[in-house]
Amino acid sequence: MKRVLIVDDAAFMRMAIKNILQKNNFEVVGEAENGLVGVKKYLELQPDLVTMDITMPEMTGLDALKQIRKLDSNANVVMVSAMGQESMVKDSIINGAKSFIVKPFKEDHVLQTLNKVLGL
Amino acid sequence: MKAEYINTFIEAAQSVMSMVCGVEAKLGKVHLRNSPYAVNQVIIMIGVIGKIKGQVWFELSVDTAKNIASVMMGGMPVEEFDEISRSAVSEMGNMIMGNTSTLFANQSVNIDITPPSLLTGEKIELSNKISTIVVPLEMEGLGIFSINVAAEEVN
Repeated sequence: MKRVLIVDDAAFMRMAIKNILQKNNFEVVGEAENGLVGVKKYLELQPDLVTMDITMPEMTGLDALKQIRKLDSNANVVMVSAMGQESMVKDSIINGAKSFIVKPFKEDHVLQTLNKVLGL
Repeated sequence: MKAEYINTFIEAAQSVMSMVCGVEAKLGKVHLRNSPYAVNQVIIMIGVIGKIKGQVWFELSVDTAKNIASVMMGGMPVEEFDEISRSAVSEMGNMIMGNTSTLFANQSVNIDITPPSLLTGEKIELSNKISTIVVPLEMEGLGIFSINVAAEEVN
């Protein structure tokens, strides 16, 4: 079972992504409410994949991505963005994000994206 | 601000409401209000900068907010307007404004938005320097969700 860390400042989004993943044979090993906690939990939990919101307090998703990729150049990070954040998504891909999901998202698109990143 | 820009907010909101809640949002009478004025129990406020500068807030009752949160959570009953349901409704505001900024970008009108702030209370009164355009949207079976735009175009 692939292990996922969810990083998002919105409790509702963490719940929505967790529900999709748990219904579909993923294990949600941790959640973080900002990028700083996300980086700490990445080190602690060593997940197979991270879903990372872009706009967060304390540390943005882009900065957290950069930190995680410095620690682990093989890290699988999928950015979760609201529409209208195209330039931030582009910056994230340049900095090593493997893919992105745009809100509002559909369950099958989330699964397709994560499965593709994980090579499933 | 050009009057036709309001159509972009309406289109974005109706699209997100349809995608997220699966409901049609019927447009009510668009009108102006001057401050100070009393607003409904739940406000989701988002700042806008760029070609259009000011604030946009979404205004609804607690009951409508609970209804929307329930639908967003797959029909789970929402008895209290708690942390998760507040987060759900805030996120809907965020998605509407994200969609709005994409639609504006397609018209070469570039804006950036702030994360949402949620305010709740009774007898909240708002004042601002810019007249507010109010767009009521009736979400089928859920209640009225009004878009308030207090913004000006930057030349």
